Amino acid sequence: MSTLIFTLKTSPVQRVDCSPLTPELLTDKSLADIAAIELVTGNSTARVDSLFDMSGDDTADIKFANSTDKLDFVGRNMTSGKISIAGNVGAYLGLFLEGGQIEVTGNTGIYTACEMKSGQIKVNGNVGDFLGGARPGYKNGMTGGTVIVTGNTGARTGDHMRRGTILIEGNAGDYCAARMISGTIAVLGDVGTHLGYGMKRGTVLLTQAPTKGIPANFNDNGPHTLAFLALLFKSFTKLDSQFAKTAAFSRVQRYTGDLGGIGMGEILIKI
Amino acid sequence: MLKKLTGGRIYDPAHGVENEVRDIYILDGRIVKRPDGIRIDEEIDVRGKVVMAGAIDMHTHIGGGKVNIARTMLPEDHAADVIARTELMRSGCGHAAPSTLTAGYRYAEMGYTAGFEPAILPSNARQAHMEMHDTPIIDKGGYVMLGSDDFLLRMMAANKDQESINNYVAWTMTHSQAVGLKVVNPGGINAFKFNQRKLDLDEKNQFYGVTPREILLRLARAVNELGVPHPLHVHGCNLGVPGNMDTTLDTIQGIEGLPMHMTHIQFHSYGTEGDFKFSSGSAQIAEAINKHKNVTVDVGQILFGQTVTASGDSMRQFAAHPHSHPNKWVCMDIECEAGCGVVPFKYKDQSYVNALQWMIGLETFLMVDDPWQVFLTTDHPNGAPFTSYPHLIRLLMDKTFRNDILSTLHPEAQKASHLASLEREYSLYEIAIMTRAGAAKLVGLADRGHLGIGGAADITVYTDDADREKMFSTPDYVFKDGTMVVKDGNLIEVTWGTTHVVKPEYDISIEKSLKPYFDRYHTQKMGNFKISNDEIVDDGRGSLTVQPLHKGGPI
Repeated sequence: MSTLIFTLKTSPVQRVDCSPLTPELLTDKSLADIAAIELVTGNSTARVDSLFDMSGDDTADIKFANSTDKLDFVGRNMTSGKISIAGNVGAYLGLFLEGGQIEVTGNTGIYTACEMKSGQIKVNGNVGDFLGGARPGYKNGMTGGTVIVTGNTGARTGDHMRRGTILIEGNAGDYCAARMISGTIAVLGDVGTHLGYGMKRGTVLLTQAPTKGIPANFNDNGPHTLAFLALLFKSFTKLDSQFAKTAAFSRVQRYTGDLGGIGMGEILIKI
Repeated sequence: MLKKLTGGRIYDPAHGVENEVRDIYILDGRIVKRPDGIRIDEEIDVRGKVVMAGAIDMHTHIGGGKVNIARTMLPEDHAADVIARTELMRSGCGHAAPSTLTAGYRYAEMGYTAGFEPAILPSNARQAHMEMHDTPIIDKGGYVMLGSDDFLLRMMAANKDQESINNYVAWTMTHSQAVGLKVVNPGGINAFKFNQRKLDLDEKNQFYGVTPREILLRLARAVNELGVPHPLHVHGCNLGVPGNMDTTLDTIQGIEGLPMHMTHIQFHSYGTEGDFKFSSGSAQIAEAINKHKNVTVDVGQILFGQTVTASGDSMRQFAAHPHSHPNKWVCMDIECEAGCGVVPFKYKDQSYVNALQWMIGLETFLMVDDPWQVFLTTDHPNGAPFTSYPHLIRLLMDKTFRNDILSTLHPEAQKASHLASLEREYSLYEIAIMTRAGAAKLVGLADRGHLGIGGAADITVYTDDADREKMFSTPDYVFKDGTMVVKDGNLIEVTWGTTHVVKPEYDISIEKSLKPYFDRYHTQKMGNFKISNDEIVDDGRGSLTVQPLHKGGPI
C-alpha cells in the first residue's frame, strides 16, 4: 500500500469542489472508479483524471501534490485517515471534519476548519479569514479538535467557535475570537484590533501584550496564577508545534469581556 | 386545441357533483361543453381516476418581506434541501421557506393551482407581487394588511365616518393589487410601537384610544359594503396565548353578523385548564363556528418538525422569540403600517404544548360540521411547510392512521384531548370542498375551484388509493389553464399563472388627505406607492384577473 497521490495537472481556472476525495468516500474504490468521479468545477463537472494525475492505492493516506488555492472543500466530512497537501489549498479545508488528520505545506483559504468537530489540521503556512468559524448565517463554529498554524491567520479567527483548540505560532488578524462561544485560542505572535469582539466565553492565551492594545470592553482583572495553564501546556507537548517547546507559565494578566455581552470570555497575557 | 378527459370520477362540490362519471372537454384553457364538429386533438384516459378542480391554498406565506427575511436568516433551511437545475426547472432550495420558483413547482406537483399570500403590507406590496411573479404555474393573489396603520387609526381617532374608511380601504386594495383585506392583531402591532406588549379585544391603544374590536368592526363593514367577496381575513388578538379562546369567542360574537374569516384558528383556541395551564378550547370554538354561519376559519394545523414562523404580528412574535430554534429571530417595525416577526421554530411531538397544538388543530377540523366553513391550511410555513398537506389530508381521512400517531405523542397531552374519540373521517367530497370549491368561493374566484362549463381548466387527476398521503402527493395529471403541467407526479411543463385582484370603487377625494400623509411620513411618494396593472403584467409572463364584486352597500 502506498500513498494515493493526486497531482494537479495544471492550475484550474474555476474552483474545484474536492469533497468527494476523502478516505472514507474512496474506500473500496479502484483507481479506475476514482478516476471516473465527477468533481464540480465552476458551473460544470470534470472527471478526476482530467484534473489530476493519479498514483498509489492507499485510500486512507491521500496526498494532493502541486496543489493550488483553487481546490475547495478538501477533507469535507472526513472521519479518519490522513490527507496531506503539498502547496496551497482553497476555501473550506476540513469543513465538518470529524476525525483524522490534514496537513498542508502551504497556505489555506477562508473558512479553514469551518464547523470542524474533531481531528487535527496543521497548516505550515498562513490561513485565511474565519479560521474555525461557522458558515455564514450559522451559529456554531468549530466544536472540537485542534488546528495548528505555523504562520499567520486572517480576520475573525475562531468566529462563533464553540469548543476545541486553535494554536497560532505567528500573528492573528483583526477580530480574533470574535463572537467566540467557548474553546481556546493561543497565539505566540501579535493579534490585530478588536480582539474578542462580542466574545461570550472561552480563552485567548497570549505570550505578549497585543501592540494594538486590549479593547475597551474588556475588564482588567489584574495578575493571576492559574494552575490550569500548566496542564494546558502539558497537553501541547505531544503536538508537532512550537507550542510543545514553549516553556509553560501560569502567571498571567487576566482580562474578561466582551462586557457588551455576557462578558465571560478571558484574555490571558503572560507576565 | 380540444382535449378530452375520458371517464373520470368527478368531484365538483360547487355543482353538487360527487363521484359522477363524466367526460370533461377543454378548449383554450377553459372547460367547455362537448363542441360539435371539432376534432378531439388529445384524449386522456382517466377512467376510474378521481378528478377534482385544482386545489387552492387560501392562506400561504409565499411572498413579501417576511418570507425573504426567513430565507435570508435560515441558510440551514436551504443547505439541507437543495434542488439542482433540470432541463425544465430552475434550481432552488429551502424546506420551510423555499425559493419562489421551487414553491411554484412543488405546489403544482401536489395538484395545487393557486395560492394566496395573506399578509401583504401596502408598502411591501410591490416586493410581494414581484416574488409571486416569480412563482411559476400557480395563480396567486394577496390580502393587503390594514388595521395597525397610522392612517386608519388616525381616521378612527378622529371619528371619521364609515364611508371615508371604505374609501381608504378600497383605495389601498386597488393600488396594492389585492384580492382581499387582512387584519393582523388589530391595532396590536401599532400598540407595540407605543410599548404595549399585549392588547386585548377591548383594550385601548394608548396613543389613539382605539380598541381592536372597533377596528375589526370598521374593517369588516368596509369589506362588506365595498362588495369585496373575500370576507375580512382576521388574524385575531392574543395569538398563542393560553386562554385566548375567550378572546376568539368574543371576536366571533363581536363582529355582529358580518362575514369574517378567522385564520389559523388553531393558534387562537387555547384554554388554561389542567396542570400545565394549557388546554384545548377547540370544542367551544367549533361550536361557535357551527352556530355562526357568517364565520369561516382555516385551521393552521401544526405538524412536527423544523419550520419557521413568519408573521406580521410583531407583538406576538416578540413574545415568542425565546422559543426560537435555531436561536435567532427578527422583529421589525415597517413604515407607518405594521411590522413583522420571523422566529424559526421546531415543533416537537414529545412537547406537551406542541402535541396539544397538533390535537387542537385536528379537533377543529373534525368538530366543525360544515366543510364549507373550514379550510385546510398549515399557515405555511408557520405550522408546517405546505409540502405536508398530503400528510394532513391523510390525518383527516384515516382515523386509524391519526390515532396511531396520536398514541406516540406526549402522554399528558393525550389525556388532555378527546381527539381519539372523534370518529369522523373526511370524505373525498369534503376534501374537495375544503381545498377547492369552498376556498374558491371564500377568496371570491368566480372561475376557479369548480369543473363547470366556462370554468378555468385547472384540473387535478388522482389515482384513488387507500393511502391518502400517497394519493394526494403524486397526482396522475395536473392541468393548469388547460395545459398539462404534471404527469405521474412529475412536472412536465412550466406555465405562469395569473394574479387575482378585485377593484372596489372609491372616491378619489381620499387622495387629498393621503398625499400629504405620504409626503410627511412615508419613505415613498403616493404616486410611487401605486402598483400599476402594467407592473403585474410586466414582460407578458404575468397577467391580471379582476374578480367580480358582490353587491355591496350599507347594511
